[in-house]
Amino acid sequence: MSSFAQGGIILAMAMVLFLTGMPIAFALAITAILSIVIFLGPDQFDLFGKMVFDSMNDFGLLAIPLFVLMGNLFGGSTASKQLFEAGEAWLSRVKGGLAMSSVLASAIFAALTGASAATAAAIGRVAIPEMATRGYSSRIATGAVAAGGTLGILIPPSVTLILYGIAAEQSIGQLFAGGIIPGIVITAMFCIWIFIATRMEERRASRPDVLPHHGARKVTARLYSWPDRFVSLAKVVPFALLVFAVLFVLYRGIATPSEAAAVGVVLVMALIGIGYRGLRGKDLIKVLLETTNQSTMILLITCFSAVIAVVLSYLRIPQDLATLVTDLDMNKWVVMLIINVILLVMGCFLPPVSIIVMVTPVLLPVILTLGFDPIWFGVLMTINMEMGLITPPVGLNLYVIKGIAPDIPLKEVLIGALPYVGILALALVLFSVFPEIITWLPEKLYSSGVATGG
Amino acid sequence: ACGGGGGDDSGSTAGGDCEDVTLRLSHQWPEATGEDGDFRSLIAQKFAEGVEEETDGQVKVQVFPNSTLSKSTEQYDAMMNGSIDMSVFPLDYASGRVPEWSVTLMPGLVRNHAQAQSWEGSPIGDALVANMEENGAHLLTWVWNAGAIGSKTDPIVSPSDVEPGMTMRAAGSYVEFMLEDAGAGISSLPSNEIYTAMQTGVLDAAVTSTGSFASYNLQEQVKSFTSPTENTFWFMFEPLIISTGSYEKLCSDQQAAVDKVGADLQDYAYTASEEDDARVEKIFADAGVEVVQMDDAAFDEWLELAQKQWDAYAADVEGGAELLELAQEQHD
Amino acid sequence: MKSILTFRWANALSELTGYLCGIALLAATAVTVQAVTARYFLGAPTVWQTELTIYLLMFVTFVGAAYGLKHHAHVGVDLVVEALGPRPQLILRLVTAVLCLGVVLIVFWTSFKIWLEAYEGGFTSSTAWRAPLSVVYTILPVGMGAVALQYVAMIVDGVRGLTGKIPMSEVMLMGHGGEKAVVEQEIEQIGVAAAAEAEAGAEAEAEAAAQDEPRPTDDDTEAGR
Ligand code: NA
Ligand code: NA
Repeated sequence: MSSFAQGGIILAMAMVLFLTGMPIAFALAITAILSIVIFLGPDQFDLFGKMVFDSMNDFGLLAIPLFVLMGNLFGGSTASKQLFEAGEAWLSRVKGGLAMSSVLASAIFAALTGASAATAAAIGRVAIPEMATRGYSSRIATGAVAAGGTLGILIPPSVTLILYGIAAEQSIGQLFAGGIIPGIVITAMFCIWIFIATRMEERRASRPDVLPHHGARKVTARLYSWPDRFVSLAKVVPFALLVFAVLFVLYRGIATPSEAAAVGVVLVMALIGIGYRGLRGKDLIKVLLETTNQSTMILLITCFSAVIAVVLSYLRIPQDLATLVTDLDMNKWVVMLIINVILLVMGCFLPPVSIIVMVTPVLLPVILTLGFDPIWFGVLMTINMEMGLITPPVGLNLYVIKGIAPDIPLKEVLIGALPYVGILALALVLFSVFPEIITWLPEKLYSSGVATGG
Repeated sequence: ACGGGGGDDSGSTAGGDCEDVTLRLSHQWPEATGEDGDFRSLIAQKFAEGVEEETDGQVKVQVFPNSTLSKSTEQYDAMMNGSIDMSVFPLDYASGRVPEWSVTLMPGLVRNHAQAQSWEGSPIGDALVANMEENGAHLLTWVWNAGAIGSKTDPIVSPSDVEPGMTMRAAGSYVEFMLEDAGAGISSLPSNEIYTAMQTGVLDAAVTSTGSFASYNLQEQVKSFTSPTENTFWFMFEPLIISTGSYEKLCSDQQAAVDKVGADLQDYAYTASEEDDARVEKIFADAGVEVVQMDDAAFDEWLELAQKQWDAYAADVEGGAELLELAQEQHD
Repeated sequence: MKSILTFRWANALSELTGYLCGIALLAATAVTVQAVTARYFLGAPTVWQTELTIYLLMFVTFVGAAYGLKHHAHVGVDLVVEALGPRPQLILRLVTAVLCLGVVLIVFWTSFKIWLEAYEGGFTSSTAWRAPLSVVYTILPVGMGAVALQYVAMIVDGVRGLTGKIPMSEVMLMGHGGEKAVVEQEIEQIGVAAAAEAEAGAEAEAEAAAQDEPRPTDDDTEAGR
């Protein structure tokens, strides 16, 4: 049997098991054990436990629960409200300013958490009701929050970039650095779209024959005095300082990413404890339990995927795939396009974490063979994963919006989010044409690439 | 063919009929393309080619480089439970399982290649081979690797060059303890973080094999490099081995072939390791790094600190004292 | 006797694992920060911290898995399942739960054997810290054991639902597991924080109004539920 046929069988097993609705982690575990028995031989059965254990034996993975904890602590504080209010105070006179505020607040929130749903939930809880009362249509409101939330995995820290870095043996520090400028560019692109969409809605609304969108009324802008604005800005200074503190710890050689995450947790606790009326015991327990839930979910998927990756590597599937791509002698950008389409389709159905851990070990040899920069590809893949967060039928951020605003029809949420899929696709093209947008900062911060292996 | 591998219990026992066998050889070294690659990786490749030729294709060796099949430190376990058959394996990695094996990365015990190569066929060498056999590892080729010291500041030649509070990373726990005695702070970072850790200042200095210094491109980060050409306190034994379980499943002709190919590679393994030190030294010198040597006086200073670790090893490990004694005999 | 057979106690066990993981998370944070401080400011060695934090992380992953299962944190693709009616859906979920129980027991068994080997051989890790693997290797079998028990509890509960002993709406397996549950929890958590915040604000006002009076003790209002 060719290695591709074997790979196909493994893929088919996983897909069928996914569709039964069982937890992805255990679907992967069943796939792993069946693959071991079928392809490595039944006598290799005993290895399973060892492989599962070894796959977790990695200091880099520690960053994930700690960055999730940091985000959850932050999400439980008043931070999201203050970030949103500060944005509003400065943008209240701009068309769509409130929606832009939620995107900007999401971007800053993203810099303090590793996950996207956390970002969308924290900002959305504050922003969606406020936008509704101020006459924003539900399309504009929910689209901005769903899309803004996706920045959580692009702007560092990022759970998906950590997982990619570990699977691809790339420096997590460099990957984080690679996400910063694209994160800012995409934030700007989102804001420009909000401006355009708001104008389009106004034109539509001025035509008497057209009914307004769900929830849309005349938009009212609240007025802010200059002192108000500076007061609101002053309130977010501690959070901005926190972002810089973590980046400083990371890039000034005080700590590795995992350690920076722990320092971040302590700083957030101190900040909430000192500046924001204390951290109560019972709130802390809730945050810890929630972090346990998210961590075990992400890491269990990761460890069972790692076992499958070992089997695939044993079957030489990644290597054969790389050879095949070389032999086909296709234009490397055609291959890149195909990869992105496959990722986008997977993104419709699976959460980013599972895609990254399953796909990276298989694709990496192909990427390296074609001569693409692995840091650049890691960031590109993350942007592709952002699309998956807002595409139906399975889109984590869409569920978040449904949870916050159950009365808004799903159709409105989908229509509101759809343009952002296009914007992210546009960003993929932009960063392919100008890869320096991604690679410049990591190269600036780290004079040259980190060798692997050895 | 799918499945296969050394886990096949049926048929081929020693002396019986010779059947086709595929052996899995896993190692942690970067995949070598052409003759310029990592010499440990090349040993694996040459072995695979040699065995296939020697047995007319009856024994195939599949090489999995770069830890693709098993984590570097887990390869002994993987050999013991049969998921891999062979490795080019730093024995010290398994010292949690076989504490005696720390003797193969004991600071100051081996100071240069000549001394390292003298183990083969000597009392310490024979004792070690017997011990390995007892613990399920059949030795095919002796492979030794010298280590260097890279520092972001002035060269570290003698213990007094270790400034208090300097953060270092070393391979081997007894080496780490010795550096701690010299006044260093020890960081147990994973090896793939060394480059970034040095760049960001998390690490001030590192002790590892010369080959790793080059493959991690540390010449871009360090200011000084203490090359092992004269002396070094860091010598690691990372032989080409096959698990006794897999070895016993080969028929006697195949066993002979495997042993022969391993022995034929011996000269290459010794020379390549020495040449590798010279190659790496040149890379660092060319990159403008200050390359220095450790003279005998400096080595003796380290030896004093190292002996404390030898004593600890002799006290902690059953049979350790005997092995140490034999090793020292060799070097008098 | 009946309460033993329904495996309800496994639920309590899973709750306990969650709280233990919370402690492990705090410990991992503290140990890591201690290592950074020791190395960066005091130049002291940090030999054991990395290793210990890895083990704590493993604890959160494997032992926390039971808590995660009880709280539907393990993401699944519910697309097809939710298109089914309640009864077929429950039957499918029971079947998949049995499959999951099987694979969890396999991990439990193989990891138990690894533990036994390490225990009998007195193995330690190969690092300078020499952590005893007989302790470290308990993490996986203990975690998978707890997950297995939680699955048994959920299967028993599901069968009771199928036979009409308990209403469909109370069946654990029908708890709309997966992403949505995670998100709902998140939103609930944020809701709690918001309520706490409002409460804190009210308290602040109360305090401002009567500054010299003793501060009221925290009551246990479970807001957001
Ligand atoms: Na983030
Ligand atoms: Na999706």
